[in-house]
Amino acid sequence: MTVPGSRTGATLAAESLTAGYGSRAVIKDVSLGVSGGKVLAIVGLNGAGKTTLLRVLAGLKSPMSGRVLINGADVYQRTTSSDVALVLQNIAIDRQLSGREYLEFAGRARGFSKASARSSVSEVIDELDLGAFADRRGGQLSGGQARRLQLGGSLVRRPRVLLLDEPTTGLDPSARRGYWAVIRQLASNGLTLVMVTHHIDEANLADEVLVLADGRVVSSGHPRDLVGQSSLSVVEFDFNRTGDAEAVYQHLGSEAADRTDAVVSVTTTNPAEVLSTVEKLRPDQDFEVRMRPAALDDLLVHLAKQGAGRIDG
Amino acid sequence: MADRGAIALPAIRAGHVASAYCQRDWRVHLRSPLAIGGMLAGPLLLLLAIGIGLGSAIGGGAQHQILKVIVPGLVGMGVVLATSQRSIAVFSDRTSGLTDEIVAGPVTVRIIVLAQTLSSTTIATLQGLAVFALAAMLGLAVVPAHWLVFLIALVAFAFACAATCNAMGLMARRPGSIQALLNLVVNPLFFLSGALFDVSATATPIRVIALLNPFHYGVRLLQDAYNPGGLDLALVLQSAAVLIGVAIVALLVSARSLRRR
Repeated sequence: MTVPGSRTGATLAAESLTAGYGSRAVIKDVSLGVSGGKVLAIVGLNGAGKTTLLRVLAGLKSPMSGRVLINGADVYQRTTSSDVALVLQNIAIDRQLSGREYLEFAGRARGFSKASARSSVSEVIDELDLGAFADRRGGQLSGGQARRLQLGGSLVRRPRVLLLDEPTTGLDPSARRGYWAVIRQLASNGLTLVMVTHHIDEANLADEVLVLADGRVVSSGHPRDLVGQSSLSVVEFDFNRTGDAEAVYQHLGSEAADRTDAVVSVTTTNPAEVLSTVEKLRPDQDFEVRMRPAALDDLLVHLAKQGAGRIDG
Repeated sequence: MADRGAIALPAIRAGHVASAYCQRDWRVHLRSPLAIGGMLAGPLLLLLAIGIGLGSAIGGGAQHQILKVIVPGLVGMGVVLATSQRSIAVFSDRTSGLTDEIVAGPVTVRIIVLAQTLSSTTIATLQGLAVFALAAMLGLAVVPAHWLVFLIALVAFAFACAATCNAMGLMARRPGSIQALLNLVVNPLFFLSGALFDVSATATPIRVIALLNPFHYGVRLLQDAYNPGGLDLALVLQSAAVLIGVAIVALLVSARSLRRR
């Protein structure tokens, strides 16, 4: 199957990027690399610098230091890039244009002639399966349809690298699954994809995950390897009284623990030590203990918190 | 698969971008009859209230004098209202992320800014022509010998206004900011331009303010075109030069606000 954007994917690399606003660095010494046919997911807590990193990779925000390279060429040494397309978090389609009109505009505003844009639009409509709503106005589309249309707009010009900023925000599970099927299809056709996401299940579908905390990379690798290499466990303390849970949570601190009502959970490499600490705090032992291996979301939150704590400290 | 767009020369590519923006904006404009009506209602209301109502109430030839001044001013008002409206659309494109998505692609910010401005210019010119037509139906027209000058004046004023208003649309960060910029900058520029009064008959401070106001030169060009007497070519060229200069500065400001930060 030929999918729009099926030009050979480019290798995207970032070398020691530092960028921010004014003199304040938001991302610090970040390096990464992703090649054609791969999906890199960038995850992190709010304020970790994910969107800023994506804007730097897109060529929209000059770094204070470091370089962004596409197939070895420095993005910031060129005035434009025909290789990169960006899909932002907001649904940036025109509500008063039909899907087909929007796609044609998206192609022509990126320099295509009318004929080339129309030809490419037809391909995009076919391949992303937009035909059912291509002639409806943007304002009449569901969130999932609008997101797919926005993605189509970025593909009309056939980029080599596609950067996506939380593109499944606001979609229901079914629409998210559909969106991810398209993402995987684009990757299998050779496109290079970098995606910022809050959804851990989406990070699981990527070929590589990069965890950002306070602007720094605290971990990276294949999601399975990240979990496999960690010796983390999650210990959950289910208290009978919410006040006890709060006292224990306050003692352990928000960097080490999470609390939901009367349950305090701790992701740790040393469950015995945590258990001992809590037993000393609540000698009446008026709680239940559950333990399980850390899943990817536990690991990512743990890494992000640890990274932020270490850097802050 | 060949990258068909990549072979286009920069100038041709710029033409594609400008044409894309014009087509998109015209489609949206024509699908908003309420906005079109709103833009025409203001000038028409002033024409009826001040030009005809107040003019005939004062009597003694005042109506003719008032109409001579305000009809070209109201054509200018049509232009200013249209470009103000367009600046809000430019602001929406920016804040929704659409403009950033396009800037990340293969077209330079200068071409994008120029395309947005040309598109706004065409819409503002047509709005100005609509006011011109309404006034003509009331018997207030430009003499045929001045039609070309009128058209040039209208396009030049529309281009300067479009560049100025679009710059504001690109610089604003919040909906309140764009509205405030329009109220604090564009409205004073228009109302102190001499569009609704005879600058030569006002007190010196107002005259000085008008002479420092770039919109004054657009309005003056339109007034010259409406004047059935002979045209002062030096004044026409001077006014056109000021408008083009203002437009260039505004385009540079826009490009700066869109460039990589």
